[in-house]
Parts: sequence; C-alpha cells; structure tokens
Amino acid sequence: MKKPRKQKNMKEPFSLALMWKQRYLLLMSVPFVIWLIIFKYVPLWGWTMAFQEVVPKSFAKPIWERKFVGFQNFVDAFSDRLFPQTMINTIGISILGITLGTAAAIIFALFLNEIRMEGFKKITQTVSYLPHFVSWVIIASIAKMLLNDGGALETMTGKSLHLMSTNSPLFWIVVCIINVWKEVGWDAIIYLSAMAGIDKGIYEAAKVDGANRFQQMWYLTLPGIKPTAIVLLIMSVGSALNVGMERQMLLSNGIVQDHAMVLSWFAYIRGIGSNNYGLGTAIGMFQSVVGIILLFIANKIAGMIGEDKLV
Amino acid sequence: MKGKRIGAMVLAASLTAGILSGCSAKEKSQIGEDGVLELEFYNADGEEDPWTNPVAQAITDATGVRLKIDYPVAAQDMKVALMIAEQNFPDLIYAKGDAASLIDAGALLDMTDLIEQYGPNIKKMYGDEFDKLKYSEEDPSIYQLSSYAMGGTVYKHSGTAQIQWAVLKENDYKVPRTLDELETMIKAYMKAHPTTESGLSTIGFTLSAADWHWMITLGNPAGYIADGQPDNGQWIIGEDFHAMYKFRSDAEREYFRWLNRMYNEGILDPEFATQTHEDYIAKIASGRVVALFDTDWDYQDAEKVLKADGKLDKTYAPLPVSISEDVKCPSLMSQGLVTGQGVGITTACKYPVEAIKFLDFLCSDEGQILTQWGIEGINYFVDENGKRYRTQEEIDYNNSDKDYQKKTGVGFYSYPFPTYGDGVTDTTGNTYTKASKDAVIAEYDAEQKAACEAWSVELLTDIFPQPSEFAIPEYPPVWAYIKPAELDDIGNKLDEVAWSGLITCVIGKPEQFDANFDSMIASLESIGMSRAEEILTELIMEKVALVEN
Amino acid sequence: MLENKKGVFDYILMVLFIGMILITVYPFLNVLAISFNDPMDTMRNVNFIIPRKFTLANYIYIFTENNMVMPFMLSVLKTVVGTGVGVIFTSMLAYVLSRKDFYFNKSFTILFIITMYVSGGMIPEYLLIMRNLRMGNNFWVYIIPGMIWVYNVILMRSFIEGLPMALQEAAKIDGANDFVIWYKVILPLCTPVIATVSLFIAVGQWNSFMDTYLYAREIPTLQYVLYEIMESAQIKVDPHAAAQGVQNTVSPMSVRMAVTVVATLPILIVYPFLQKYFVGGMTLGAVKD
Repeated sequence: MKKPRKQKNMKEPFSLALMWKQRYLLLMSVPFVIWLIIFKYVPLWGWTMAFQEVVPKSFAKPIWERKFVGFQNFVDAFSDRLFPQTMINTIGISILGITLGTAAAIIFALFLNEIRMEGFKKITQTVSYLPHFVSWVIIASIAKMLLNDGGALETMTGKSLHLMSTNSPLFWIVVCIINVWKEVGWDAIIYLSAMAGIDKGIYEAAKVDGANRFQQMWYLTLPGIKPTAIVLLIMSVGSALNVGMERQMLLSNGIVQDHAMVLSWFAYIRGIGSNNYGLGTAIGMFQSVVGIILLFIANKIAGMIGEDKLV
Repeated sequence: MKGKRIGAMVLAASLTAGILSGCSAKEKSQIGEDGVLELEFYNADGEEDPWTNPVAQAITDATGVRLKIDYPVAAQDMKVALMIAEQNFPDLIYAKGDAASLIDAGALLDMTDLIEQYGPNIKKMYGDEFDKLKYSEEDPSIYQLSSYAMGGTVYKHSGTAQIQWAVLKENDYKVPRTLDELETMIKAYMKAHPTTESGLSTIGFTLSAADWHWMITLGNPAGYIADGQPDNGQWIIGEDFHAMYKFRSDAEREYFRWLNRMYNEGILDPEFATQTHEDYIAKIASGRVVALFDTDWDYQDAEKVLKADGKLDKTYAPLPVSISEDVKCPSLMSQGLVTGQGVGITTACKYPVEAIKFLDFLCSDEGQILTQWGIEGINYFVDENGKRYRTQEEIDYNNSDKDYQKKTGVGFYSYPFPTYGDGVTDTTGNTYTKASKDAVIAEYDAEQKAACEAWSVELLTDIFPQPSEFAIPEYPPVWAYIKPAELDDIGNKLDEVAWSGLITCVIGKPEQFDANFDSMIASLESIGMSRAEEILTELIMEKVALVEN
Repeated sequence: MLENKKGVFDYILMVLFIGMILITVYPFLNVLAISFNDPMDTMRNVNFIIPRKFTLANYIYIFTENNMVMPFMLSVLKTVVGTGVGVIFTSMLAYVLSRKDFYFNKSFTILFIITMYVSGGMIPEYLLIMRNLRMGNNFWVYIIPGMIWVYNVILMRSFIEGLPMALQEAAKIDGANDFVIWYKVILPLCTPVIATVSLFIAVGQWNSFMDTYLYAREIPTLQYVLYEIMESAQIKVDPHAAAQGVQNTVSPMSVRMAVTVVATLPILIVYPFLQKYFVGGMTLGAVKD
C-alpha cells in the first residue's frame, strides 16, 4: 500500500503577509505557547539547584546566595557506588519494557479487532484494561504470590525457578512481563482507536480482491496503525531513562535489589531521602537531557528509514 | 451541533466553578470574636481534627488558645520542604524527622527565654534532663520539646525474641535465655509437631526482610541479642561514647552465623527474604510460626487473628534471649529522654508568649491529667481514697471504638506534646498516665496469667533484667537525633549495603559465611563507615557535654 | 458488512481471549473480593477472588464518617471541565501542528515536545502557582496548569495527519478559514482519537489527588478525600504513635481495596458509553483521493 499523503515541504519564508495569512493558526497556537512557557519553562529555574549545594542548611536561601559547586553534584552522582549498575538496569528494563509492551499491545489490539462477536469484543476490551486501575501495591502482592519461591507457579510446575530470588537480569524480564500483564489492555486503547480511524472502504476493496483475514491484518491494519506506533515508539525512547520507581520498589526484595535499582529511585534515595536536593535535581536533569537527546536520535532514525517523524 | 453542546457544557461548568472558587486570603493566627486565639499547628503524625472534642474544648477554656491542625497526607510528603521554600510556616510545628531543615532555615524559635519566663511546668517536667533539649554545644537553643515520654517505667515488653506459649507450656515454662536454648526448644517442638492442627507445616521462625521491615526483624534483634545494646538506630555506642556501625561487631557476626545455620537447617523460613509483609503476617496468623524476632507493633495484626480464632496458645511470649549468658538482655533498659523530635514554635508565630503558655499548660498537672485521663466525672472518677479510676463502661468504649480518642479527646493530645511516662505520679500519688501496673495485669489474657503464675511473678517483664540493673546513658538515644547531612547520607548508604549484604550472608553456604561477611564489611568500609562513626562519636560527645555543663 | 460464519480462527481467538481475560481480571476480582471481605479474615491470606467472610464494613468505614457529596460533585465538575477544555485545546493545537505549511510548525512542536521530558521539579512549580500566580484554593488550579498534555497532542496530531487531505483542501477552496476547517472538518473526523484522548484526560483528572493536596486543600476532590481515608487507616508504623492507638477494627489493606473500587467505579460506568468509538471502524465514504 502506498501512502496517499506527500511529505513535500510547503513552507514559505517569513513575511508579514504569511503571518496574516496564517493568523488563525497563530491565534490557535500562540496562547498555548504562552501557557507552555509559564507553566513548563519558567519552573525550569529549579534546575539551577543542580549546580548548587542544596542541603537543608542552604535550602531556604535565595538561589543567588547558595553556594555554586559547578558540576560537583553530577560528579557525585556518577561516581556513586550504585550508579553504574543503576544505569545498566534502567536501560535494560527500558529496552525490554518498550519492546515487550509495544508488541503485546499491538498484537492484543490486532486480535481484538478481529473478533466478530460484538458483545464478546466489548466485554474483552472492558475487562482487559481493568488492571490498569489497580495500584502497584496490589499487583505486586499478587505477582509475588504467583512467582515467589514456593509460590503458585513453582507448586504447579514442581520446579524451583527462583524467579524472584535470583540476583540477575532475570528480574528485569519478570518486571516487564508483570507490567505487560497490568497494562496491555490499556495500552491497546490507542491502537484500537487508530484502527477505528482506518477507512473501511479499503477492507471492502481488499476482500473483493480475495485477501484473507491474515493478509488484511498484515497489509491493511498494521500499516494503518504504523504511524501511531512509530510516534509512540519515538516518544517512549525519549523517556527510556524514566522507569518508574514504585513498581521496582514493590516488586524487589533484599536479594534482587542490585538489579531492581533504577534512576528515578536512585534520585529519590540520594536526593529526597538524603535531603540533598542539589544531587536529586542533577540526576533529574541528567535524565531529561539524555531523554531529549535519545528522542532526537530516534526521530532522526525514523526519518532516515522513511517513517513518519515526530518533529 | 456537538460542538455547541460541549461549549454550553463548559460554559455552565465554568460558571459553577466561579462560585466555588471564591476564596479569600485568610489572616492566620488571630484572636477570634470569642477572644480565643487560633494557632496553626502542623503535626507530622497528625490527622484531621476540628478541635471540637471535650478535651480540646477544656484546653481552650484553660488557655484561651485553639489549634488549627494541619497534617501530611502523602507518604513521600515534602510538606516541610514546601514550607521552607514558600517561607510560610504555621505557629507551632511538630516536624518529626525534618527538624534539621527548619532549624537551618531559621524557622524555629529559641524557646529558652520563653520557658524561663513563662514555662515553670515545662521546667518541672524535664527536671534534670532539661539540658538534653538543647540543640548543640555551639547553638544551645531549645528549638523543640520532646514528643516522647519523660521518665517512667516499662510495664509491657515490646519484644525481640519470642516464642509461642504452646512451646513454653510443653517445656514447663522453662525460659530459654540463650540462642542455643531457644534453638533446642524450637527444634524439639518442630519435631514433635511437624504440622499444625490444620495441616500446615510448622515453620521454625520467619522474618520480614523484603522491604524496610528488614531493619525491624533482621537488623534490630541482632543488636539486642548479640551486643546486648539498647536501640540506638543502626549504631552501637561504646563505653567511651565511641560509635560503631553495629553490623560490623564481632558479636553480630556470630548472630548472623547462627541465622545462616538456621537457614541451611531449614529452621529459618526459606522465604524470609522474598515474602511480602502481608505474607509474613498471614503466616504468623496461621499459627505455624514457632518463634519470632520482631516487635509487637509490627506483628500485632497477626496476633489479633490468632486471638479471634481462639488460638491463644499460638500467640507469643517475649523472651530475655541473648547470644550467651554474659550478655544481658537490654530490652527494659531506660535510655532517658528522647530528644531531637518534638513540638516547637516557629519564628512566624506572632504570639510566642501565648504559644509557650499553651505548651506550659499541657505540661502542668492539670493539663497532663486532662490530656491523659480526660474530664473528671465523664471519662474518669476519683474514689474516696483520692485514686483516679475509669469505669468498666469507659474502658470498653475505649477498646471497642477505634475513634474513641478522636471523639473524646482522651489521650489524643498526649502525642506529640510532652508527657510524663508510665508510672510517674503527681502530687496526689496518682499516675499521670492511665497505664499502671494494676491496669496492665488486669489486661493479661489466660496464657499470660498462667505464665505469671508458673513463673510466680506479677508482671511478664519480671523475667527480664530490670531497668535498675542498667545505668541511664548520658546521651539521648541516637535514632531520634537531628543528624548532620553527611552522616545521614553515609548512614543511608551503609544500610543499603548491609541489607543485601546480610541477606547474602544468611542465605549463603555456611562455609562461605565468613567470606561473605568480610566482603560486606569491606563494602561498608569503602563507602565511609569510619567517617560516619567519627561524626557520630563527636555528636554524642557533644550531647554528653551539653548535660555535663 | 461483517461475515457471519465463523472460522477456526475465530474460535482460536476466543479461547485466547478467554484465557487473557482470566489472567487480567484476576487482580481486579482480588481487589473486589478483599473489599467485601472481613478485614481480619483477609490477613490470613490475601489472595482470593470470592469473599470468604462477606462484610460491608470497609465501605461503611469509608462512607459514614466523611461527607463525600461536595468532593464528589467537585470531582465530576473538575473531570468534565478538565476534559472539555483539554480535548478542545488539544485538538486545536494538534490541528495547527499537523499543518506542515504553518511557519512555526517545527519550532512549536519542538517547544512542546521538550516539556514532556523536562520538569523544573515540584518546588518551583509550587512556588509559581501559589506565590506568583496566586491560584491556591481556586477551582481553576485544577484545570489550567495541566490543561494540555503534549502526549495527547502528538497522538491526535498523528491521527489528523492520517486523514485524507482532500476534505481540508475542498473546504479551503470554499473559502473556509483555518478555524472553521478545524471546527467543521477535522473535529468530526477525529471521533475515535477524541474518545481516546477524552478517556486519558478524564481518567487523569478523576484520579489525581496531588493537585488538591498541593494547591487546593480547601476545596477537596473525591480522590483526595479517599486518599486521606486510606492514609488515616494506615496503622502508624511508629511504635510510639501505634502505642497510643486503640483496637483498629479496619485494616489499611481492606480500606485501600474498598477505596480502589469506589474510585474506579465511575470510570467503569462511563467507559461503555465511550466504547462504541473504539470498536469497529468508520467509513470515510465521502472522501475520495
């Protein structure tokens, strides 16, 4: 299938006439840009803390009176005993999580879309996203019941699997699978809505041409949701370092701790936990900057292989 | 069309919202029309309280002050940090562990002069230990009172090593005093009863070590049992006030070696490091766990279930166990006044004199009796001998209604405000608190009564080394200290290493135990253990000097 | 339109999905069961899906002591207004950013996307809203600071980009301005993605309580009230605080579950009405490339 839309650059050079011509577009976007600057960019002054010593003693002082320490907070963070392993864990869990999560959601949406019985389809979809609303505390307790040593899975298989008690990257896989279990139905919603946006006419045409259901899925549905999938992928690459800490904390234990620590958790214990806001901010800033770099790299790659770009 | 409908909806909604949003900036801490001064009070352990219960009313009648109580909600709360950032403080504050930032921010008022002038009852309450309230040698201001009890004694044991009553009964109430004796007893019982009545296999003992509870069940007992040391957080303080990170003590190495052996022999539950705390509680509640190394507040839910199921003999007896006969179980030892956490007045308070008078009233006999016992003729009565007592009806009300304290105000304000400890008596010879020896004995259940009889003692705690056998340290317990940031930071890192390190030691092969333990010590050393010990030693010396001067 | 006979594939799918339903519904049934189970009994073992000792105590605990009417109304209002405002603004912005000929297209897009990954942190945001903008305890603090999520804008933009250009161009030839095109042409075609985005915003608005906590404790929402109930049911782990407490007849776990159910129920009730936009495709019959 070829794309109906051409990506030619229609941009004209700046001129007042152009601004007048696009006055409605300006009117429809500039207020939001102002909003964005006030609510998202102004608070970025908080980043100055990353270059200062901000411990309780200096916390109450205005920015300009705090001691500037240059990149010391970054140096402290990067030379921390936990940092190397934390980075490895974060990246490992991220890559696994993004691939597994995306694949599962797409497959789920694809198959759900193929169900012919409307009632069953609705029920399945409604049920599938329920775990999304269940807090991690509960999910973790159920997961541990199933997977812990001596848990339900080991009893069923009669094998000692040590899923939750092996201090190795096995823990990443366990975490990601549990995450899929919780989120697949919710994540599929986006793909389902993308599928709903595909013109039904092309399916009719394909049927006339004798395409079977697998061929329709492969040649019509998948390409139809590809732009959405690519955009979501690029965005998730940008947040590759932002693995949530609540899930990690709740699923880990004293044995697998080394492989459960992720950046946000690290920032929390070293920043808020130790009352060292400067260090915490530095780690947060590092996450942001790396995230944006990754985002633009992913965006570039998407462009190079001829897919839709984010920007 | 649809667009119009949405537009209309938004419009309607925003009109309603406009009504709701009418909000005026309120002046804080002001004297109301009724002549009552309202002070804002932030309580880190507080809950919602409109200050309408009878005790609150009585306090207002006596002091002319009403509290407007604010409290945190989220667990990872940053309320104090936000206060500092915004420079917007309440009048009174109990910041719990966050006092350091407030003091550094200059937000707490030095109460020394105020107490001198308006606080006779505060001075009376803290007596000899008054100087412990001072912040540091360099800055001897009093920023906070103590939120913990002053003086008194212990009637109840909160527990370290414990064993089911059923086991003690089979051993004719012989009290195990060493780990070896405990081990023999557990093993014998497990052999005789491989399963419980309901068919579950018996577990020697289990721990909760998958999250922060490791400090309670894996860490703390080591200090009590192996070192015979009272609770100083993760530290052991030597005779010469030298601080030591406790897990590196040789005695504790032996304790963990014992745990390692128990693990490999299957006496220690193999799931101890991975199970959730709920699973831990569920196991205890099923009655299959023979012994425990835990503190009552941590596992009391499980005992409630056991009692409800009529398995009273599967509840636990606290034991004065230590690693060997030369180590004395320190559970009852008094550590003196706890300082570092308590109520303070902020520099934003416009009525510091009223505030200190308010606090002073709470420290007075009248205030103490009011907050602890409630209102005479309603919550308590005085008999012909001048003895305070509560009716059975009141006691039942207290025990059956979870909101008793909140509704009546009785006992509701004793924490975090200053209080006398259990057993301290006022001029009439009555104890300030409701807990007295008689009251504790009266509450014993059948198993506990039987044990007292078998041991021929009055109180269960009588089998422990008594408080009088220990000297009160010259420094307040370390766990509540306002610690320098560096110490805090290293301390957190040490705990991280110790947590996984100790578990590795316990679940490893016995022949690798020493290697594992040594490697843990090496990691501890590499992240500044000695430095932390130095800082803390200095801090303790300072605390000692404060009292001596 | 749909084929009526079912093939082997349909049956395989059915079996697959029934299996899927069973494993995903388990956590939720677990929550439901615990919320209706005797809290004391729950401590024996927390993993079950049929209440062993039925009780309404956990719900009674939530509803008796707290006035939920105003917070509930406020939550509904906040969700409705927040979603309405959010969807309209999101789609407007998404449309503008989908216009490749717009001069600021790329710069604005980058400006927006960056904010997905950066944040000044809680304290600067708090100071901005409370001190500089003085929005504390004002209803609009629930709406304005978080009115647009860039994620949703991008989602909607990529949907709009997938629409055939023909209609837009036809409208332009008819002399419609960009605002009219967005309103008359784009919006009606965006139904599926509007449904998705509405769901995301509504769920986000409905579930949030930190905004109340930080900025508007005098006008609390339902989630915030529920959160407080949950926290106060939590037995204080502090030994001293616990020692002051009396017999607690509710357990924090059971209350947490009941709160989860109460908080989720409205979403479950509303969802089926949105669902028709996700299920089945639509025909863009009028458009021919």
